[in-house]
Amino acid sequence: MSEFMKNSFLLSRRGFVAASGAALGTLALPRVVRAQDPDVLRYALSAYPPGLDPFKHEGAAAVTVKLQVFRGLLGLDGDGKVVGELAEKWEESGTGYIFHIRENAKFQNGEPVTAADVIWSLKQISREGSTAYFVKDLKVISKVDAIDEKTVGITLSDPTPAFAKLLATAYVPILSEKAGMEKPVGAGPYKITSIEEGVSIDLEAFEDYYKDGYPKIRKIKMIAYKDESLRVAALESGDVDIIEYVPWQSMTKIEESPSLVLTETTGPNMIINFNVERPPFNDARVRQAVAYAVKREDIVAAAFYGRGKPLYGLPLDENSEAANDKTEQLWGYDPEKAKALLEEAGVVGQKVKLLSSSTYSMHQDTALIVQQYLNAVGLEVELDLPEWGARVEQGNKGQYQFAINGSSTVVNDPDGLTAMIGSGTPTYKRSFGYSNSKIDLLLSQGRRELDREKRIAIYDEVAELVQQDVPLCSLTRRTQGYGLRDNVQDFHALVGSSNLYTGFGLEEVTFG
Amino acid sequence: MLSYVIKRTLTAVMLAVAVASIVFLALYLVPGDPAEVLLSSGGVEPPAEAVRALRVDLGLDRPIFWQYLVFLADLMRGDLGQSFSNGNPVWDTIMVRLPRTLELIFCATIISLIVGIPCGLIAAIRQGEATDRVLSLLASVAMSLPIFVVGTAMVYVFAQKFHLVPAGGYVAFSEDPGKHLLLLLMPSIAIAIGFSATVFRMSRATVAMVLTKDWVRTARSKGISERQVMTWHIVRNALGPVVTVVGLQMGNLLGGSVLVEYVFNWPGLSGYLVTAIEHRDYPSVRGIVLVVATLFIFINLVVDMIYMILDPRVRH
Repeated sequence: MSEFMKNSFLLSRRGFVAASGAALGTLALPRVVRAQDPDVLRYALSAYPPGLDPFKHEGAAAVTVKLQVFRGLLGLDGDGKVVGELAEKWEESGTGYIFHIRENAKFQNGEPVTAADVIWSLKQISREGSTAYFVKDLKVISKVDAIDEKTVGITLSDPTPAFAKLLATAYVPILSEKAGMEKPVGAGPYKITSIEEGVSIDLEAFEDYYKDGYPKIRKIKMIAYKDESLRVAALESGDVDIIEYVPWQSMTKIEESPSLVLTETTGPNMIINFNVERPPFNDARVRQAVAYAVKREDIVAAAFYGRGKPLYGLPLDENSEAANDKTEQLWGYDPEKAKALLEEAGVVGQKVKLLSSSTYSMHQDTALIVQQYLNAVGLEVELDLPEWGARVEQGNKGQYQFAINGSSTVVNDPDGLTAMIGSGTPTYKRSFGYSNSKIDLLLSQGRRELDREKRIAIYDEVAELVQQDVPLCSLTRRTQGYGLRDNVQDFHALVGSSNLYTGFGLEEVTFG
Repeated sequence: MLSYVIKRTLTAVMLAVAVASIVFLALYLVPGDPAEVLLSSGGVEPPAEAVRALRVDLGLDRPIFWQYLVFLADLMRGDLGQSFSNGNPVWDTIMVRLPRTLELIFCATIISLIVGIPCGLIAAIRQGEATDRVLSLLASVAMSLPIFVVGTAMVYVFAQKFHLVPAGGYVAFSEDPGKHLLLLLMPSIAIAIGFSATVFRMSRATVAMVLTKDWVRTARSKGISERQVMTWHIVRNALGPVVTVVGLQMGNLLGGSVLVEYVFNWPGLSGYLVTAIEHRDYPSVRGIVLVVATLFIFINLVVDMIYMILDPRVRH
């Protein structure tokens, strides 16, 4: 046998050693490859965009990409304030708006942006069979006309204080009519130069972008990292310059790292929805009991690693015009009161099922803590944790008793409450079957009230009704984090509902 | 032999159609309406009008039986339909994604064979000795390590700690061949760790068995060189079961490399399948399952062919 060992066997072992040596050798290559190009900003997306339809909602990652390519009449600055984008300025008077398009605003095909393009683009959103995200919101437009080539007049059927905010999102881009919908062409700061399916999207500065001297960095490479830990690893190892959706458990690590910076703002809220068509949550006392039974601070501590704020009031943005003591302090942590309410309703010891989702740990962890607190006051809570798509379906069809939900308004405007507590088509975003005519009346007044003081007073009244009737129970304001390499400058994460539109500011980012 | 191949191929086609039909119907049992799910990604409330319009666009308002007929008719023409998410032809996306997964599988298989078979030989020849025990122990450990643990540990050590490699990702070969291979290496090794242990155990067992056969003793006593005995009498006879296991494992990896693809951000077919399921992108799910099933059937066919070459008895 030793004879044999000398012959064939050692040879293959030698071959093996050589092969593994070669394999290890390639490990030495990368340092050269990883030298950073100051002309390219590498941005880690949390998902590969499922599509890039200019009007459809296709998730946060798609919004970030689309904002580089398409722009609308209005936009948001670094503080989340509405500013002119393709429109240089605009005038509002009740239901009438006049937008003056910038002289130098051009589409990426070289065509100037005209009033006709604006009219055509708005028509694409509201046309029959449109799948646009704002198809319903823009129904408020009753007339659009070209005053001259560079001026557009828009008339609304009702006064709508949130209208300018709607235009300052990613969902109302102005597209070139000439290019049409087959291959839509926008007027954003970057053009898509190449796409590696499922991997990355390469963008290059559009030279004729209306804002002189922008974008600051010539190229952006958007790379999808779906796994949150890998996204953090990519930032740490220098593969990317910015990552979005920093997982809460990694925030401290990024903060403590000398070469990284964490940018943190409050983002969407976590709430509980109720199915008010089924007992026991058809009884407002039971809903109230839930609102008093849960110590929100513990959800922030356990589900969000201390990142976020407890929320005992209306699920509005922290910097919302309607956020004040009257709308923020509706309930408190009061287990005795909760117990008393449950006893009064006669549901102590009753089994209830709490719907959440195993797809997102924040939804699941929040449910776990809510479960503990409700068990402590005398309910017997079971968890139902399907995958996200199934959870949405159950929510839409009312196949639940009560459910954990994430909530944010489309724009930072109190009218966003309509989608959560107003009557309307059942969706998983609303408490199933909930309808309160007093709240509905106030919401429709609030939607149309142009006077700021009067408007705030209306939402104060809404808050009072919510406190009593508990159409939903707020839990926390969670934070949204971006991780940056320390040489990335002038990156502004937007607050609350506007956080989704942080992509507006990428054109300002520079390397220090 | 030709008629055997034709028969096998026809069965394979019928199997594929059956798989496609089962997948088609099973998808309708999964809760979650595609239009609803697609328009509410990230937890936004989709306007009811848009959902209705999208249902019409996607043909979901038609009766299921009608949709099934359209699907079959398209399939006969070799058309897998368009993705619900972005309207791209499913076939095109699969053709972009599939080679990446195949590349990963082949690379992992080659590493596993290079490591597994020689180690199996040594262990079998030195049965019971220290080398054998150490190798067998290592193999047991390697087999029981979950792939996401190995993968995450590799990312941590090689990318985050020592900054030797990027933390996963993908670069097209045409763009940067060096980086492409470098990025391919990590996930390949992660798969190969468990895979080579399987190959090792299989080769160790079969070689050990063959070593005791009479013909080996006869060959040796005839004075044939040890090398020839090894190559022609032992290895060749021992390889049959190893080939079968490797073939099956490769088939499994087609749909089962999802964890590795996820951990290393490798944009292959499995990752596409998971995203497609999340988005309720029915045409994509159907297309991928069909292609994977077809390939699985094909690999089995190839395994049978290799068997024929290795073992003349099967040929007759």
